[in-house]
Formats: sequence, C-alpha cells, structure tokens
Amino acid sequence: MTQLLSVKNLNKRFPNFQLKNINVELDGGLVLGLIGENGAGKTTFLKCILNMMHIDSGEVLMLGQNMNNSEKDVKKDLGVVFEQCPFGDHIEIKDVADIIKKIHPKFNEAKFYDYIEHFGLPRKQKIKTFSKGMKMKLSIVTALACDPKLLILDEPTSGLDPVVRGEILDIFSDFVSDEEHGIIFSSHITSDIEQIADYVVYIDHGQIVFNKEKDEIRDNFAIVKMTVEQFSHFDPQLCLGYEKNQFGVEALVENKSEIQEAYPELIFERVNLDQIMRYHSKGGK
Amino acid sequence: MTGLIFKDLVNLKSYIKSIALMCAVFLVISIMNESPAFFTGYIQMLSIVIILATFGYDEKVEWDHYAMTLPIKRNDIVKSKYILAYSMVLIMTIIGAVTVTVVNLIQNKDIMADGNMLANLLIASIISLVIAVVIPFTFKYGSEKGRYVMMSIIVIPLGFAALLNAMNVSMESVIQFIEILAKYPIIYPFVIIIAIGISYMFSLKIFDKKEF
Repeated sequence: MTQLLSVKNLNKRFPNFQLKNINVELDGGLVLGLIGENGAGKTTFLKCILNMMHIDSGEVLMLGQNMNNSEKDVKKDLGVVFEQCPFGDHIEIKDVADIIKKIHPKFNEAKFYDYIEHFGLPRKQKIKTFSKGMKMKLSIVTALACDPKLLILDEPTSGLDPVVRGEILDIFSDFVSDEEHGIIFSSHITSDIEQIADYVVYIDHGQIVFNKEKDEIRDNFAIVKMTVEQFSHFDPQLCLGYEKNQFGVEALVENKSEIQEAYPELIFERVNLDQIMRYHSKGGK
Repeated sequence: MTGLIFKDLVNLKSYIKSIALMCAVFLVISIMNESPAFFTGYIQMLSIVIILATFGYDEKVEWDHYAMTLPIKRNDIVKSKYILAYSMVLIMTIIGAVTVTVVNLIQNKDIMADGNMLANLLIASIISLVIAVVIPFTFKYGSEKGRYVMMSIIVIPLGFAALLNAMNVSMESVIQFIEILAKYPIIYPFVIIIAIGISYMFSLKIFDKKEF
C-alpha cells in the first residue's frame, strides 16, 4: 500500500487564526473525509498541503515526496477540485480540453470526453450558461481525466442534486478500489462523507478534534438521552457536548461501551457526523 | 507555459473580436485622413488593456488557485504574462509600422517621413516601460489596482502637460527632452530590456511569496 499523504506537525499562523499541530496520513485505497464548520480550517489545510500557502513549520510528504523539492513532479499525480470552477465564462468544453492538454502531461483527452458524455455536459455551450452543478461536474471530470493518484476535493458535491451526487460518489468509490489511489474529501454534506470515507478528520478552530476510522466513530460515539435528574449525576468529563430540550438532556459521548456499562439505565442512540459537529460546537451550552 | 498563454487567448476571444472591430474602424479613418498617429497610439495602449484583462479574467474564476494545483511552476505563470504582454507590444508595433508605411506610400512620402514611424517606436517603448511597472504591481495588488496604476502613469503626465499648456506655461524643456529621446532611438531596446529584466525579477519574487 502506497502512502499518499503524510502531514506531520503542520503549523500555519494567521493574524486571527492558526492551524495547529496537524497530523494526518492517508494510504492508497482509502478515502479521508474532512469535516468542520465554516472557517474551521479545512480549506486552509488543503491549501497548505498543496503548497498554495507557505507553512510555518511541519512536514508535508505527498506521494512520498516533499512538496518543496518536487512540487511539479508531485502535482502530475494530483487531481484537485475546488468549489469555484476555474474556467472563464466564454470558454467551451473543447477549450478546456485544449488548455489542459497543453499544461498537464497526463491529460487523457479520450477519457475526458467519455466523462463529458457520461455526465451529459453540452460540448458547444459556453461555461457561462452552465449551472453550478454542471460547472462542478466539469471540474471533477477535468481532474479525473488527468489520471491522478490522489484526488483532493474541496466541497466537490456542493450544488449537485442527489442523483448526480450519487453518481459522483460511485465514481470516487471506483477510483479508490485499487490500493494505488486515494481521496481527500472536504464537505459540508456529511452524509456523503459517511457514505464513502474510510477515515474522518474533524477540524475545529484550526485543530484536529479527532482523526478516526469511520467505523470506529460509528461504534464509539453515541447520543445519550437523559432526564435532567440523570444528567445531574452524569460525569461531565464524559460529555463532548450536550443540548437541553423539553424532554431532558442529550449528550454526545465517545466511549459508548464503557459508559453503557457504567450507566446501563441510560438510552444510547447512534449518532451521525452532523450531530457530532453540532454537539461538539455546543460544548457545555 | 504555452497552455497558460493559450488559456489567456481563449479567454480573450470575444473581447478581441470587439477590439479588432474598433481597430479596423480607426485604421480606415487613419488611412482616409492620411494620419496614422492616433491609430498607432491607440493600438499600443491596447497591449496594456489586454494584459490587464487577462489578469481580470483569472481573478474572476480564481484561475491562479487552480493553476497552483497543476504541474507547472510559479515562474511559468509569471513568464506567460510577460511573453503575452510583450508579444502584444511587438504585434501592435508591427501593425503600427505597416499602417505608417501604407499611409506614407499613399502620400508618396518616405516611410520615415513626418516622424510617424519614430513616434510609433517611441510609443511602443513607453508602453513597454508602463507594462514593466504595471505587471508586478498587478501580481501584488490585483488587476483593479493595476488599472489605476496604468491610468496614473499615462493620464497624470498628459493631464499635467495639458494643464501647463492651458496656463501658457512654456513646454520648451519638455519638447527638448522629447527631441533628445527622438534623436537616439538606438537606446530604446537597451532601456526596455533592462526595465523588463528588473520588472520580471520583481514579479517572480512577488508571485513566489504569494499565498492563495
């Protein structure tokens, strides 16, 4: 299994924000999902590993190589999709192919047009007539046509309807089906992350809250439903965050099995990533 | 790098069509009036306008962010802008030279007659120097501020000269300076090359440090 990404102690300081001690690894054949609120640092992290921002300290190895020394070589094996479609309004699909084939040595024109056909993108219309979803499909298609080993996607399913999102996620799943390819996938649509990610990294205020296997999250995290009385006897150290409502208190916990043993009378429910983020951000409120 | 230049040309497709139409109109007027000076000045100005337009298009779609993820060097992005800009200047100078030649031939004059050919070269040189200032500024501060710098460099001296003229202040020293410049066109290429070299070094440094 190839190690596609290794980030060690990445630090990047801004006047009002800091990415602090970020450690992330990704092996081939896996999908890493990046979640966090707006402004948490997800996009900043992606930009740091892509050398779009200069890090203050730490080490970034992509495909086994240091970005500072071998940037051009490494980027031949990357496919990156941002939320903004990078092609101008007056450009057509043929122009995109003509531009990218002059820039990227691995651009496969036949594959590009196959994907264009598959997604039903109109060849002879200018991009200014495309919907947001169509622009996103074009960006994804362009990235895939360059035969990358590592796909880095910042909100790639944003603006896509559920049917197309499903198709795109299937393509991403196929992409990592061998152990040579991997995906880093940042998204607010946590259901997409839950569908295809193997690992989930939750970033909050520039720091990693957790970096765990999806199955581990599913097995260990839970919502505990309590009455106010029960909550008053509950160890607050076990709570990652809680919410009071008309029925009582709902608290997010991490070590479900141990807490179930200690508090067998309480009701435990499965939690999804949305809820984890919501309860964590509430903290003790 | 050819891909980057190609991308700029594709972005400029529809813009260039409307500019070409305007140029054709001015060209016809110049030839009919047997006065190429306005046309040659206008098309030289277009070099700056066009290169700033490419920066604007890139900013609108955050092309540079995307380019940073492609297997190209930051230097290539800077280089492509300079190659495009000065190719435009060269093309416009040639078009200007051809226009002057045609007009002078129509008038049965020598191609260097009336100073129009020299004016064409002088304007090309000035525009080259303006571009050498505008490009690094644009890399640093964006295309909108680059446009203000362009306008300031061109409009302020002209405006100042017009004001002095309106106040009947003697323009003799200015005229003498221009006459000296016109006497030694051989130095233009050297001055331009040095200016482009310095400008390019600044742009490389600015873009290398830039964060996206």
